[in-house]
Amino acid sequence: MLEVKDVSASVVDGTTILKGINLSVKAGELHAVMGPNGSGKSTLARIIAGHPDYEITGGTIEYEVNRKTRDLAEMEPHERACEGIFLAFQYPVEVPGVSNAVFLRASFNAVCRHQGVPELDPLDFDDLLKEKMKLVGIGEEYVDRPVNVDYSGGEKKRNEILQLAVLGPRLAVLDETDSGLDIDSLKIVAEGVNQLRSDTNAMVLITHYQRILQYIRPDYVHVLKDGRIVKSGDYALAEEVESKGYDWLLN
Amino acid sequence: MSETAIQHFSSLFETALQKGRENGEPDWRTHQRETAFSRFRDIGFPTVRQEHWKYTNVAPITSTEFVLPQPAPLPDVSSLIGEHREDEIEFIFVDGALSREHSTAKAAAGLELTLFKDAMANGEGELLKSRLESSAFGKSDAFPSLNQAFGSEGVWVKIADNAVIEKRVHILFLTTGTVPNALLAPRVIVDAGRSSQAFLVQSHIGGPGASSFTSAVTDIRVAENAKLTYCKIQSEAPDAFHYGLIRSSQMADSHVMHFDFSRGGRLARNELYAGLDGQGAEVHLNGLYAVKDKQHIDNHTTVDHRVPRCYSRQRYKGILDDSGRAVFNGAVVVQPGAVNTDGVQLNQNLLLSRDAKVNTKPQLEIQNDDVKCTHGATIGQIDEDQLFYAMSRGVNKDEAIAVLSRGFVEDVLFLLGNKPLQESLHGLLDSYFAN
Repeated sequence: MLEVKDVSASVVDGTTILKGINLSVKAGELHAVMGPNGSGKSTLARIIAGHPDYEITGGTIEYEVNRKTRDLAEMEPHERACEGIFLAFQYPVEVPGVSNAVFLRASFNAVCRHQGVPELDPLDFDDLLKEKMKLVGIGEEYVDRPVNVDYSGGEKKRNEILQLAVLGPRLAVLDETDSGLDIDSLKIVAEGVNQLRSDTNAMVLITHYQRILQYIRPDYVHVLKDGRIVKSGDYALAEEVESKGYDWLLN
Repeated sequence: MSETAIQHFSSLFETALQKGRENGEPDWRTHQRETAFSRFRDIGFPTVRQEHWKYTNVAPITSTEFVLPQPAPLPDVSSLIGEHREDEIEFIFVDGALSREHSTAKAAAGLELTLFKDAMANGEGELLKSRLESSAFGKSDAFPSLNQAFGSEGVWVKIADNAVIEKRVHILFLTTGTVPNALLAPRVIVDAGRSSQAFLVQSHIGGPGASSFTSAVTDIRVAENAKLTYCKIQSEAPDAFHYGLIRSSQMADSHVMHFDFSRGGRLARNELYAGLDGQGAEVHLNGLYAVKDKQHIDNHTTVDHRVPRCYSRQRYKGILDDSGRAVFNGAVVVQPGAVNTDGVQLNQNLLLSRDAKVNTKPQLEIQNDDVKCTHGATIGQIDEDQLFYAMSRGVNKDEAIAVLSRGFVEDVLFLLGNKPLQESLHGLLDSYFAN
């Protein structure tokens, strides 16, 4: 589904952060990407999503869906989302004045339009939204609340998972979804993510801490350091990092 | 004012006087009009050299030749104003004349809507005369004087003491554009009795392509302990000119919310003057304006704290796109003796294009020490993080800007506290965002 081929990336007109990343993600797989601060984890997430502050300076990212392969660099952020790529933000953005219902209905219908599928009217969308809110464990009072405004850290992260549930993407990149969460919130978020995993979608879970991987079991684990993947393996690698620390990998 | 303009308005005034005589209006009314027209001739239209008209050039109005509206066979009005709403009592004027066909026949207990000519006929002439007396007002007397001089018909809304009017009362002035460059001078008088409650809407709607000049004046008196929401909607045609003055005076413990929604017209100026004349009175001035293309909308508001212990809040938000221009001048005046005043004024603007421009000036004139007054003004653009967030969820840039812009104005719309009306206003904003 996703082929990251020797990709280098930098902040626009600034420092190079990723220095030749290779990553292959297939449908049904969940890849964890771990690393110390500054290793480039969020940069990787943002270039997949198409954040305007970052650019790919070398290599390509190919995205294959419905037997069509496309170079991600040629796709606008909204196009990538319409083609099934979703980024759960590390710091979800507050959108005052725009309720979750309005925001998500606009997204959902934009994706429907792109895929040539009929849009949902507000009442039908409301039903869908409430169904997904139940799945993710979010109360109905959030329907009309403005997106993320004054939510706690845990509520914001859970709201990202709600959006994931509503949009049903093929490739979900979860950027440090666990950072700043207490164990209870973490379990709820993990539960939501696990319910959404399937054979037809794939996930890239970016994390600093190993803890979340106890609840969301990855198929592959990669360790990122100084913009490069220095080691790849399975869950055992995550346990090693947890017990020995990132410095151990310098050797 | 140029000789040509003076001549033109003068001959137009003669026609208006003639019409008045034909309609058998009383001498005092003719006299009021003549005095007003004299005043208008003497002072002329304001120029940009005057402080309160610095950013608003009315030359496009002075250089147009206007005509009086003609009675014409009623065009398809329903398509312009929609079907009758069950939750409203409607009083609809089409091109300056009341349309009984489209207005709700029965008002409600405790509510009277009287045409001026009917008030004159049923013995309220003297009362009406004094209510209409002071046309000289505002930041320039020219427009109110013009309204006084040319006004042919108007409506007097009376809400009885203790009356609670459940339905919204909607006075709608529709300009169809059947006659190009029509000059309209609607007048509304409102008397809200003690402890009464009502929700009034005054809207100015223009049919597509209508060219017109409306100079409207509204006088509101709110008695003790009354509660009133007054919502003015300006949705004139893109080529129209609009001047609207609303002045209100509140007695003790009354609570008024003014809501000013301005979206139409080529050049529009709204003046709102709220006087607090009784202790414990509270007033909210909320407003929303949206300009695009080459529109120019100017809002001047004043809250005048004349007695102690009154509370005022002003909150206006504006969205500007293309080469749109907006002006906001929000004043809080605190007279000596008006101790214990609590007044806040805030104007926030969202610019969606490089060429849009807003001039915002808060103004505080405070004449005693025992007050709590703050003011603020902001001018900003769409937040980049919010924009990327929306786009990362599949929404293209234009649509994302529309969603975020609507979000920007949502909290002000919410203050209306009336869902159906908020929905109507959302609808009026649809045309703004349809690119």
